[in-house]
Amino acid sequence: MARSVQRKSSDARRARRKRAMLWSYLIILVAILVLPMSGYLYAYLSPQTAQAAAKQETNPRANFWRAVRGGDQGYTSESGPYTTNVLIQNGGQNWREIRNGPVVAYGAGLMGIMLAAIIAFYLYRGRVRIEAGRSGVRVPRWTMNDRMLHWIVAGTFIILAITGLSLLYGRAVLIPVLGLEGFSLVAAAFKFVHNLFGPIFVVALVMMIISFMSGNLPEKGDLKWLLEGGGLLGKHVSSGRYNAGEKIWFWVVVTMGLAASITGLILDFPVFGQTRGVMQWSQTIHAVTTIIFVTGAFGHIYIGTLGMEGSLEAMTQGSVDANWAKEHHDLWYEDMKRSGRVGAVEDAPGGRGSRPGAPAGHRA
Amino acid sequence: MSFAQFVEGPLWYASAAIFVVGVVWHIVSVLRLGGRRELSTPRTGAAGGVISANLRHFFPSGTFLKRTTFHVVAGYLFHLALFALLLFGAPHVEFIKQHVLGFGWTAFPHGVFVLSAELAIAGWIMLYLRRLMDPVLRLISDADDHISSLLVFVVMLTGCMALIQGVTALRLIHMLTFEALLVYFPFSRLMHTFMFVFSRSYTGAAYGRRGETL
Repeated sequence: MARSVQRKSSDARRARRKRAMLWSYLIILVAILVLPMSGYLYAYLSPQTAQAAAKQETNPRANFWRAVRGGDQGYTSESGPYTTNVLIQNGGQNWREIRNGPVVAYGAGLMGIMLAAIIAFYLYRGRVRIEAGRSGVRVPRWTMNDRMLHWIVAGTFIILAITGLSLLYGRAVLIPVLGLEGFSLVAAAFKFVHNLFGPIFVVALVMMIISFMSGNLPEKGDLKWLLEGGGLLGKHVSSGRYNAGEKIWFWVVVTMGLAASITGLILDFPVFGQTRGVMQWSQTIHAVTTIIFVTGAFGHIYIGTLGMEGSLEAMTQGSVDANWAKEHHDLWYEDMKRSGRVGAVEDAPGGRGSRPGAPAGHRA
Repeated sequence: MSFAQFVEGPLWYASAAIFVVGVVWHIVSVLRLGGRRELSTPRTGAAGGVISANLRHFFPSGTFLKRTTFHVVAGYLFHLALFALLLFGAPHVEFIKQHVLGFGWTAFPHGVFVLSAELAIAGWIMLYLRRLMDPVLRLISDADDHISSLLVFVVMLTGCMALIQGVTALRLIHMLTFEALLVYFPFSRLMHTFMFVFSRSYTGAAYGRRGETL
């Protein structure tokens, strides 16, 4: 009896620690992403910016500048793969304005809206619990290879996102904090890290796409799942191994991930005769696709951790609780039951295999 | 004395000394433990067993080929790439020339150096994820395993950042983390860099005397 009470108290402590850890992760994530945006917002709304904007409207040198940007060719003794006889490369100016204008502004807006939506949803719905409670019976969901690929992609993605967003928003956010020299140092270091981790991400992403492709093709029932909101707002909706939401996220990863990868490689290895125009377009596409990717990742990370009880362990342990499977992927659960694989797992939710004292991961 | 001079001068020499003395002390301590006295008559000499154990362990055993493929590939990827960039990266060759041996050798071109760094990082990620996700490996991993792994990663990461030529602060950060690694090295499982030969030899010799091969 005393042992049972002790175990319950230990389980409660563990659950509290887990909740505290999840909250900490969320707060850190939100802080990383919101703080830079708040700085941008501050810079955008500051009186100096407004003054600068007003000044720009009445710039007496506008005609001169327009003429400079006209692209008239002069004479130069220089030769090479790039245009050298034009004073200002007009495409570069356009690229800079697109990058520092709509891409930065709408990007911050999109990510901010997503974060606000997640917070609002959490406040409204709370954590999606396993309604029937934990059964203690485990169902294998992801193989070691699946999980390995997922975490290599996820880990490198987070590094790339932090370094990439710092480069994109650093001018507005980090310079006021670090100063020009400090930001120059951080930007240069982050650029190298970004360039080094990029190719690793690309290889892992392609392998993950190939590995996960077959299960993510559209099926009958996906539309119904979507029309009923995936059960997030009400009762659960029938689903196979992957629900329509997961499939949509997979195809976002495929399209945005591959677009970001291809453009990233073009930027990372500028030794194949890429023209300035190609580099400028690549950078713009790279920024836009990665912002969409990051925005989607917020939702994915939320629902995989804080938003839904029992889903993270699918990717950390490789298995899920049978009641979780019944509630969220009932058709898949029935398939697993028919093939006798329910309970065929040794790794337990505590992550410690069959170590004594760990929550039961027993066979059915 | 500036901070840079301190990091690349006294601190470097101190950490290098701790590393050398610590490694020697560790190896001598293990050797002084000796082995269990063999009571049976040796069937064959120990030398064959030592050579066999050392060489054959470089290849995965056929019986466990499928189960070990992942960590064998990741292990080779990480270690070979790490030592390649450690020994043939141009900044490292230059450092060895200036601060260690007084002479250098031909270094990798920049592209190959970067490729080695990519492979080493990819190998590290694969190995560390395996440590976190394999239930048995997770269970037997202790603080030292995690500290060692993360310290190596931090050194690699700061090394990536230090690739920017001429930025003293980034070079110093890399140097500082490397010095921390040198100090930690002899007291950690990173000693497997040297000890794997001794442990393979010990086991190989024991089996060799009994007429078995590993």
